[in-house]
Amino acid sequence: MELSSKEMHIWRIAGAIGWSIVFQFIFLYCYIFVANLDFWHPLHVFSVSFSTIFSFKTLLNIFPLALVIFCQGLLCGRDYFNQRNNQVSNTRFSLLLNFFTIYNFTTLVLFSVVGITLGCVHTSVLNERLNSFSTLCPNKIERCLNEERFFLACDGLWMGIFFFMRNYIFRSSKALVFPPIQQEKFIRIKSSFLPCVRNSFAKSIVPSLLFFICYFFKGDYLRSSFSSILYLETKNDGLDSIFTLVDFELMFYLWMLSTTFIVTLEMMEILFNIYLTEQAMFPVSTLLALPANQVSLQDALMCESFPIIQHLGFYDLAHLAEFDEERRAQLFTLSMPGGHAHTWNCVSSQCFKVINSFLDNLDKAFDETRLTPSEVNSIKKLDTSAPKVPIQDHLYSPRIRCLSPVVVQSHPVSTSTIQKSYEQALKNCSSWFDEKLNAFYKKPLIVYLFGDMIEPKVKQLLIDRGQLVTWAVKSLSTLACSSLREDYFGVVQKDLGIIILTLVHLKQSLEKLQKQNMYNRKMPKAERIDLQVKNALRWTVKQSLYRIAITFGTHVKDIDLPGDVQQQMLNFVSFKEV
Amino acid sequence: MNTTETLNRICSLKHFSPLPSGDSVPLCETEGRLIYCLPEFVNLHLYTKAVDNLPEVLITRDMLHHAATNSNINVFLPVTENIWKRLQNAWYENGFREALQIAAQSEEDVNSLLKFFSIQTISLLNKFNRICSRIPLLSSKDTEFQQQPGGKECIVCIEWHPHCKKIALATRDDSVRVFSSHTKLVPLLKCKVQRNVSCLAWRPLSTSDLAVGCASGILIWTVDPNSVVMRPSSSTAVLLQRSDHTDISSIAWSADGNLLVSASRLNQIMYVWEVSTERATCLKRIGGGGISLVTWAPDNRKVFAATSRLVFRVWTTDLWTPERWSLPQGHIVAACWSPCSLALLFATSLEPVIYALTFGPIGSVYTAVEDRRGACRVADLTDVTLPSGHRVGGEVNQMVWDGRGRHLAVTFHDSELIAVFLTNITTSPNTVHVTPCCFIKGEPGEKPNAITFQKNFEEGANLTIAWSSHRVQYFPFIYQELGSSNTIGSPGPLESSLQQSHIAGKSYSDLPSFIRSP
Repeated sequence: MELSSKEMHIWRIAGAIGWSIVFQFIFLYCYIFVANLDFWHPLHVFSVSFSTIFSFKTLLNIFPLALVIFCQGLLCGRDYFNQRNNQVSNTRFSLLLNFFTIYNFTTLVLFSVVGITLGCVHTSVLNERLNSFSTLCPNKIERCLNEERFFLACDGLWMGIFFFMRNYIFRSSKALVFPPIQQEKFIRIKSSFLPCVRNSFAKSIVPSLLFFICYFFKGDYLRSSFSSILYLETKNDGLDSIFTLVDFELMFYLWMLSTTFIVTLEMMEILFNIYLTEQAMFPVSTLLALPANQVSLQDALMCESFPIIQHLGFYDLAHLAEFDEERRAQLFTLSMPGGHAHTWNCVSSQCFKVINSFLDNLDKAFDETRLTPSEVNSIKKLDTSAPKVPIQDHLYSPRIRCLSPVVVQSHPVSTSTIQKSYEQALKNCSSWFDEKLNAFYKKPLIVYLFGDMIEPKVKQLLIDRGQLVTWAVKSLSTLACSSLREDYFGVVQKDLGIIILTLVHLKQSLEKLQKQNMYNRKMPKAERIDLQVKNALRWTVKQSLYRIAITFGTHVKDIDLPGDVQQQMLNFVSFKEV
Repeated sequence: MNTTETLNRICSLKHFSPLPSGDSVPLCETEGRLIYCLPEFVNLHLYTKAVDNLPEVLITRDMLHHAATNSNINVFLPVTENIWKRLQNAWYENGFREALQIAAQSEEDVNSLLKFFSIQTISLLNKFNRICSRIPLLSSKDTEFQQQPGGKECIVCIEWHPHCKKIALATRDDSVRVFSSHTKLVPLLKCKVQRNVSCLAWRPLSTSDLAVGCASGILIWTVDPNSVVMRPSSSTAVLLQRSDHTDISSIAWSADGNLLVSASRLNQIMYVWEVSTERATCLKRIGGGGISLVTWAPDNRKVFAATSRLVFRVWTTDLWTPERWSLPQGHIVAACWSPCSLALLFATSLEPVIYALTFGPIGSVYTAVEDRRGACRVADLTDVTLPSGHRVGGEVNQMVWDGRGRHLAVTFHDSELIAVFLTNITTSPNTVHVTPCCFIKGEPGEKPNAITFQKNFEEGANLTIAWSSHRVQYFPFIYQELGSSNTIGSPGPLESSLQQSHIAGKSYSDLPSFIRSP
């Protein structure tokens, strides 16, 4: 099972990488065409472009380009592969430390390599002015550095660093966002390509300008160090002066190159999203054994080691619950020897497991952040068998105080008392130290750096598990409702109470989360994936409860439920819940 | 079979029993019997108790806020401003083109160069527009849909909540009112961005969410049933908006309330919104003009989208691929799905006919071929003059089908009457049988503005009519089988339609049937 799900994942990644490489070629050819545009000789443009495209040099250049794109694709694929291993940083300090990881370093290096390769490839297919790093010096004897090409290659490097900083340091973690509706892959790719290119043209202006400014100030240093490596002379009039730098042709190439870089990386992300979020149909394994290379729905739902397969499994389950009557009937069947509802039990238990683990993690996140570190330590020191009651409240009531005057009595001093006083002093000393340490912990800067933050934890939880829970909730409620007519053995009916109970608990927890008001930061809503997931989850839970209430009506009273849950359900039946 | 023979066999307006002479108006239908009474003595409660606990909808002319539309500009006294000030105001309020118009038309001593420049620019722009309109891909704007939807009527649209006894009503002054049975309180939904309201839709599986399609986009209001606020603040509304998606012509929710599809009359783009996350997917196909109507099939598997040209499409919702259909002439003006999603009725602008398009399981090889050949005519709406002097028929204005698939109500552009048909859907092969039921007329001088059926009326079908006099009337068709409606879970769409068509066949078996044989 592990193997076949891995195989499925690999094929999808391969598709995405393949398309990325194809897009790279398309973009390179468009680039060649645009770069050779000449309004006075329109036919000449075609002949030059064709000869460049099919020249041996271009074909040679394609290989390194394809290679770096392939490496980049592998990294991107690993990104999605390990999405649950993202470490949650509770404090700002650990957030800071997380930047310095081998993974981030590799990404940075790869981005820079992609940038430089793009710079070199895109300049080598151009005219003589730009396609080599060395030219003849003005004295026609020695070889000099071709600074224009060097400038563009540096821009590639800069774009790599800039993009890495923007995407990996200053942006929230990546998440696979499933589209609202499923469309054919080709249509999705086609519809996202042009907006991506259009946005990239706008996005590349700021980094290009920044690079321009940086090169103006530090260009000579870069130039001299690079030419010393290649044993080349430098021209006297470098590019780092106003008059030489304001070259419209060069500026145009710079802009095009920056745009190409952004399109390359963003298109790859889009392609990965399209390929990995494509709906997969998992057969329900019932009496007949499935072929070895097929992953059954139950296996997919349990596939915790590959979160993407688990996501696809739950996505398919939600689709099945709503549209696929045939597979729904398979879910409601009984096992042939024994007559047990193994299929339903497996699916429902997996749904409950996902929902309950989400609830537990949510509660844990809240509980931990409500207590300060010292309080947590003091609780840990207490006997775990003791009932969890805030003890100090019972021992020292602020309302009962001793109002009699304190009388100090003097006693003869003995050796034992000296020892006692010594211990007392030590204790005092340590308590003083603890006090100071606590005061130190409460200093603004320290709290800022090391204080526990609730937001990243909940945010990561929502991003990682939110969509799964949404589908689980939707599937459970839809299956419960369709079971009324389709489930001849009543396998779902026995779980109806648990389903309602779980949904109501989830609703309460989400309301609690809503009251936390964590989202006071002003950030565009479109970028807050966690916020979107939270809203979708809240709506789905309510929708599911309404679905059950409408289907079962006042018969909800006959289900064995606790009083408050039943009252809530009756509110849903009478349409009083918002 | 030739065409005239076919037309003779299908249901037509001349087969309806005529209206009684005099001023008496129809009130309701109970046990297959139409009840008439004089307009002065209207008391529906004498005949049925089914509408007793429905909200009382009362709209008076005084309640309507006057919107700052062009028609109200005359209310203000004219002031004399110099030409530069007027130009500045026109530019600020109506844009560059309006400013050019003012400069070209002004008879004051405007700079002659400016006047010449404006006249030339306008003529150039007009020429450019004319060229653009010839090119099919560029002509996105349809002039016939440029004016406000619905003309001058006061009530633009009415919409029943799918589960509660709650009705939303949009008026010309861009406000939406929600009338509920459990409270006398009428929340008034109005905000600055809500201009030119064209359509309303309640979200299924929710009690409070109402989508309002307007010029700036789609507003999703949350109308809390427990709140006592008369005028909910605009913060309770979410605006779904895209720059290429304004002047919304039609919106429709999926059956589970998860997705909302919206169409604009200005271009060929349809958006499918996942409302809880506010994410949207754009659906665009070349061909046809702006989209005038979208409706979601009750089984969630198909979406019908009509353009303002010859083309209409039926999208399947699994991979969102369209099936393209084209009309010989005109464009679609009204369409509705059967409750079982196996049939779609539509009417076009140039032919006075109701067509049926059937889907679903294939009966046999021959019927399948027959079905795919095209839509078939089910009713002829050629206008006729009744003995009472009323004219009825012609171009359809609105067409609604009740939730059980038994009554179909049609309003016309040039008629004061509403024609109600009885319908019956048979499976294998899927056929829609249409037979005449009755005409409904209002009080003297009234025209129907908007009609809709209540979605959860247990006793039968409740046609709700908004008349041009701001009166909102309930016209219930009470079925015999009162109380047999399912309270535990509604039966599947197919089952319910079969069950109901069986009932319909029993109740109205004495009526002549007008069935088009395949």
